[in-house]
Amino acid sequence: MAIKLNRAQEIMDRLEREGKVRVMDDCPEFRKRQKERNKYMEEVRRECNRISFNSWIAASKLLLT
Amino acid sequence: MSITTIVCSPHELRGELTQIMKEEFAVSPRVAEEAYDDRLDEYFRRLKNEVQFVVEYPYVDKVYRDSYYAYFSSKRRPYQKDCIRISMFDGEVLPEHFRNAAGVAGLQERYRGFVVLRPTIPNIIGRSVVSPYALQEHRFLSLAGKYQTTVNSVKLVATGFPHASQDTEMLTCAETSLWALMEYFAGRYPEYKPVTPSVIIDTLRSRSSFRQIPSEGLGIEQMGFALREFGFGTKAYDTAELSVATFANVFSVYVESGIPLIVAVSDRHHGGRIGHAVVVMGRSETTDADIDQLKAEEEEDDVLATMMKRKRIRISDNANIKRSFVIADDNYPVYQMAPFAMPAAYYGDADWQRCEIVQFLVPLYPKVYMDALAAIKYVKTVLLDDSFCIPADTELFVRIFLASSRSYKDYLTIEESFGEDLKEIILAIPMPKFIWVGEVSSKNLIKKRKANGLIILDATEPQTTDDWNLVFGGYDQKLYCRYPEGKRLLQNSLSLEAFNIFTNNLKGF
Repeated sequence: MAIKLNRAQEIMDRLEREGKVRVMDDCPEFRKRQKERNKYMEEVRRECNRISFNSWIAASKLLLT
Repeated sequence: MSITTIVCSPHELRGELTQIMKEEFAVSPRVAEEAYDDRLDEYFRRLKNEVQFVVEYPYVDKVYRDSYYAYFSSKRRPYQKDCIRISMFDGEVLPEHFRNAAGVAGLQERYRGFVVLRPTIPNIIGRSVVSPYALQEHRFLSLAGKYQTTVNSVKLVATGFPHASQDTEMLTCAETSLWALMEYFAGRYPEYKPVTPSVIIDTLRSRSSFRQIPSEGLGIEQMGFALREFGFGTKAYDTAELSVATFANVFSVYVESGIPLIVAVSDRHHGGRIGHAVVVMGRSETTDADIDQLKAEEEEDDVLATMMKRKRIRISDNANIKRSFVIADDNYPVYQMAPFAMPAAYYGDADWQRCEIVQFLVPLYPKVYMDALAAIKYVKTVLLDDSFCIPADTELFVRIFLASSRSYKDYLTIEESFGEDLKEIILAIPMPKFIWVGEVSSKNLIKKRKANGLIILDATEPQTTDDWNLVFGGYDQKLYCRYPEGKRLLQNSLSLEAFNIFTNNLKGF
């Protein structure tokens, strides 16, 4: 008989039965923090794009010999 | 014409090589002696005294042959088309070692790589792979590829970072850096191919408005284009676009990720004219003193700084440790060491010593979409908001790097310090080819090479909205993951004990 090597599903089911699993998408406090993170990371993403573009422009100005 | 193979010790090498160069490269004794004294002596002086040399000639080197047919053969001055190869072994080498199985196995164990000499006097160091273990001083962590070669007709594998000196006509520092980088990737991953000098020139044909040979150098933009054509998702960082501290931090994070970087060093900020490309492929080992001297960062980012102040949590970043970096510079023997602030510290010249890193190129796997800076800031913000309930007055030590998920899961499978249940959960999570990893530790724990928090991010997900990039996050009793269908973010309470840090990228810490 084949043996299932992976036990992850059993472990998660057991944790759920023991009440040790929370769905964070439904947690208002977590959602509030998540929204703050979203806002901050959107600014970071814009900053990364700016750095990338300006670095690309600068990349043509120095000759390496 | 037959192949001649000789074995010699360090003190015989000068006499043997100058004689062979005189004959093979058709140069006068004085030219051969000067080539040895000016170029080779510093190469071989760094090697351990026990190293023995096997010299073979004539040797057909594929990289020099390519330059020869593309350029050197078109000149009036005659150039020889063959090279000389010097292989290095730790300890005694006898003729019988090459002709029985036990002898060959012993040779492979003691094989320390090779150096090719090409007839482009005075710039004669051609394609070379030297193991750090051949050097007297090898207390550093460097990337290395594996290269199959033969010595006296016996197949051996050389391990090291590929290196060559520039010949100043077909190869300047820019082309040499591109060649070395591709040679490294080809020696590590089957999806990349090595490139010859003529392939680099052909690739850049559409990006060049003027003649390409003899080479007058390349710009970082051209090098980035070539790398993209060779299969990378290249990223460039310019010093003017980030603060000095952030520029150094991002640079260190990529080095920690085990990615060789093409680095532009220049003294233009001092009104100079130096513009030089080197490859950075490792760093010095971390000592307890390095960790003690590391100060919790004064965060430049206003949002993170405010959070740190409010929560009274301080973060020391591994990437801010003042380390030396391992450099392949085509003006010097491979594995030079220099700090970030003085990347040409090993040059004797004052102008060179004033050089700084002005740009660097990261040859990323094309599907690494999440920027290093975004990964760094995401990890820090998750630690600083209340997601993990980290107590006030905690000083964290954070280490952030990119890793392949295969390598990371492989490490995890045999890492006994992870709880079995936790290990099974992480191993069952589908991951992209590359992941950003944040290991959270303390100064005391990291001295034992351990961490007690882990954040894994999906490197193919630049969109961090609603934590879609979060693969796994765990600190103390709180763990976050998307499981099983990846649709809901779950928090469960399994305990994350202190675990051994991941060291596969640079094979050490």
